[in-house]
Amino acid sequence: MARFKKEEESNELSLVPILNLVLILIPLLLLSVVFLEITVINVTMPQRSAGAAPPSGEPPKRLQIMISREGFWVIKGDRALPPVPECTGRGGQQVTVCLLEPDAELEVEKYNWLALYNTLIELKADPQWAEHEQVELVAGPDIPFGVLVKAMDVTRYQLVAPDMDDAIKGSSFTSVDEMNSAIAVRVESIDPDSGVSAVRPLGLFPLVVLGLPTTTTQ
Amino acid sequence: MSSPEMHDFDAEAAELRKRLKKKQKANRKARSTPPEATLSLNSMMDMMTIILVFLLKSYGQEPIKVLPKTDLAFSTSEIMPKDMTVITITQESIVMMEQEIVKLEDRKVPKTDKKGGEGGLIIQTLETALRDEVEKQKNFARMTGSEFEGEMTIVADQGTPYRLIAEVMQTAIASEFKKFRFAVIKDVMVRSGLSAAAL
Repeated sequence: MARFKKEEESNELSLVPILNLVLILIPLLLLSVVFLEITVINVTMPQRSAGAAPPSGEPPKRLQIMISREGFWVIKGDRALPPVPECTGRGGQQVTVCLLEPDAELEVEKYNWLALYNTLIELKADPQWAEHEQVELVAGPDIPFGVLVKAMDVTRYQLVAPDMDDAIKGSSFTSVDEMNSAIAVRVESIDPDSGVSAVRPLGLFPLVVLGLPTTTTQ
Repeated sequence: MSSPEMHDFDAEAAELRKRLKKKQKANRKARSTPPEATLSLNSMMDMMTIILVFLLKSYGQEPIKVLPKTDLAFSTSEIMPKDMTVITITQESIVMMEQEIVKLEDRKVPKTDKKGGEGGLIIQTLETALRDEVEKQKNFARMTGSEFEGEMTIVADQGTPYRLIAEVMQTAIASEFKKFRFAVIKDVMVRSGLSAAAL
């Protein structure tokens, strides 16, 4: 009897030390784990000394978005687009897209992203601009970085309503909710880096070039 | 039959009874002691092993470390970060590779630290630090036979004014950096196109 018991005991693995180790490792790893995924946005910025005029040989075909405290100026070539219908007749500086809620608490909420997107998608529909991918972003010196990131988000993808997932190009939207529930148009394209063909979101004006902060706006 | 004999017999019987009782008691005792208590830890070990593997997998996957006092913006970008020179602009300072370089005053670089005073775009201390870093990376590139790419990731707080971002970027450009990336938090509603967190 006694001998049998002894045998049984030696057969069992002693898991207690491993268990101790695992119990210590789990909280340690849980503390260091990151649940938010971090991605990056590629941007470029030309070198320019302060106050110098832009080079004279500038290509005429350029799209510029200027973010100021009043709203956005969308500049096509060398002239700003006229104000969108809801922004006309406000007097003062005629920005292309005026503020949506000037009294909003969060900076990002003040701007009319929907109108900006609609202006851009309309421009993209123009065959002359269909192949254009670059957008120059310029902001006032005190515009917070969050607004800039949001502007890059708006210019990045062509969007459609979720039920139109076989669309080949983006459409405009009539309400903010509609735009927020929209999905990016996904088409098969070839990745310029790897040369692999895959289904990926269709860009609107995805190449962002940052300009120096404007000094004309406060 | 004498009484002593009788007594003897009685004593023997009593002795026997006593021994029997003792044996019974011992027997009962042996039977009633529970078998040595053992927890079945197998299922728990299985669970823990799975959790451990999962956690180990996600450990150290992040090439970018976000420092305290830095609120990242949400974005729909899907480009994954790479390991490279990282500059963090927190609410209080500019940090390069986890070393504080410039202390900010109300989210501005003190004008004594800028080339050309208030309106200057080059931050002097940052430029010195960046040049050292570039030198290091170029040496490393030479030794490994690769090329110095001049890539930089900027991790900036949401509220950083654009002026400061531009200053940091111009300083970096002056020290031979060419490609820039802004670190952002991937929006949970990636498929839905635009950031729901910001609106």
